[in-house]
Amino acid sequence: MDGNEARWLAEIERRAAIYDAEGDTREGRLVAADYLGMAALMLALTVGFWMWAV
Amino acid sequence: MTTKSASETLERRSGPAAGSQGWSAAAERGDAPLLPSERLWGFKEFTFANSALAIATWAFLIGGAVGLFVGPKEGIAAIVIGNIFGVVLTALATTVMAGRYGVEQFVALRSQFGYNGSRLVYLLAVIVLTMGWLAVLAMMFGRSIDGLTALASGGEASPLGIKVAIASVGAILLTWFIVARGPTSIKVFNMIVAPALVLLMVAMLWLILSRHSFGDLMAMEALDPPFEDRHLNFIIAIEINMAAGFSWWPYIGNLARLTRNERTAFWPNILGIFGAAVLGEIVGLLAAVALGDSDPTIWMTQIAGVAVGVVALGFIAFANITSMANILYTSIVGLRQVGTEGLRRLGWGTILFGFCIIPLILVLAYPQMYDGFFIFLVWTSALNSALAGIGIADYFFLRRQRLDLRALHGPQEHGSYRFIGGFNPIGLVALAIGFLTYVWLFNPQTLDNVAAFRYLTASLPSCVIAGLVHYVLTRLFAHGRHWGDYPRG
Repeated sequence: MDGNEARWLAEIERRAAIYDAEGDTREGRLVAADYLGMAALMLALTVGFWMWAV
Repeated sequence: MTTKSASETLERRSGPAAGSQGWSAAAERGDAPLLPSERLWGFKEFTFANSALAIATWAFLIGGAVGLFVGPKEGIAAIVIGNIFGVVLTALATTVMAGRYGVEQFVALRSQFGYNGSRLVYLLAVIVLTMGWLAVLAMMFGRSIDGLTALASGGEASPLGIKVAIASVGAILLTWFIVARGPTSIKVFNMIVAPALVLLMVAMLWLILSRHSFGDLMAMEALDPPFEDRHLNFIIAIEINMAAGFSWWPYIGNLARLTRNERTAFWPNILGIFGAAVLGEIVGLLAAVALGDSDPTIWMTQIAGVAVGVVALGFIAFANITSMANILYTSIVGLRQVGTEGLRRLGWGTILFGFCIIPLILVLAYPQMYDGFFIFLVWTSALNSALAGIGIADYFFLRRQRLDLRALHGPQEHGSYRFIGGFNPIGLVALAIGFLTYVWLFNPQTLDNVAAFRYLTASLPSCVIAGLVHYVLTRLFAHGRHWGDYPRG
């Protein structure tokens, strides 16, 4: 392993460790409400426009 | 990319003593995951960025193609229904992991297909799609210029003539020149063209509604319905729009990695990509049905008259260059991640030009492709819908939203994503089954379909079945560290 490769691996390790440390606590995670919102939006648009057009 | 090649890339760019600026630059180019502090786009910025990508001339083409199958009322419903499914499923498969980990899309794909499998997927999904779009948009540029000169001189436009061919070749070469100068020139083009294209769409909508009442428009019939069965035509129109939604698969993951978190990576796609594409397609649909021609380079002159038509066509011609520059740039950035070291040694301009050769051949040898472009678009969905299904199954259900950044960016030959020679046969079998499911349900070339297509479409079953096959086979057979290192229990 040459110096560049070692430095590169150390940098990847540093970046991965930052994400490890954050774990599930980071702000802005998608939660159940987001997934329910996506499902509701798809359902509402599909049913609404289908009934309007057909 | 192997560790060695990544470090070589870094050193070439930032010198042997790479500081934090050098690492950040390498991460920005996809060689390493972006840290949260390096990601600059908030909700508003990402909404603007993907609106600029979606508000493009292809929206007019897709809207016009929908008008061939169904009238405006069913067409608007098909545009909304198809796009919401396509955009939500594609965004789930690509943007959530990019927003969480800041990882480049095709590096993340190593966890699903292996480090060589991700290269194969890039070849199939990105190169074919982007080369096809480059050719179609270049021909649209050529036809706009031809229509413009015909309008100005009072002559006849000739869509398959030599003028169109020369202008199309010129469009590809101009795009190459712009992208070769780097992302700043693309950003300048975006800042001018995207807002102007919104204004043009609103103006076109106003001109159409000033000639026809909303009620009259909604009562109009399709231009060229292929079947007597209206329901089947409606489902095909939905399928075309799902294909349009799924066609964002190669592009939005790498934009979303620049956002600050998962929510910011996901929701702006609904406002930007979905909202903007729906607006553009509806304008294209109404214009095509009201004026009797699905080709925007023709209906635009009919709506706007000679003077405004010349300006509009000139603008549309150059708006195509913006679209072409965006997709060419994104594709070449991805190509650097999946390419070999020999490819990465080539200059930026040389790789770009090499990528443009097949589109150049297509515009010269196969200009008829423009009129059947929606067939090409729907073919791409046979692949993209299966890729979305596999992505959702792998990231959400098999990996439970956890990626191993060290394994994704470290040495690949003996790492977690070795599988068999760098290919994950499970992911590739799932992809093939998803593709075959699609083609069995609906053949985009001939429009042949089986009874189930009338109720299920083709993209949704392809997405679900590919995801299910990937999930079940992985649970049964993917054991051991070199087989993806999936969590157990």
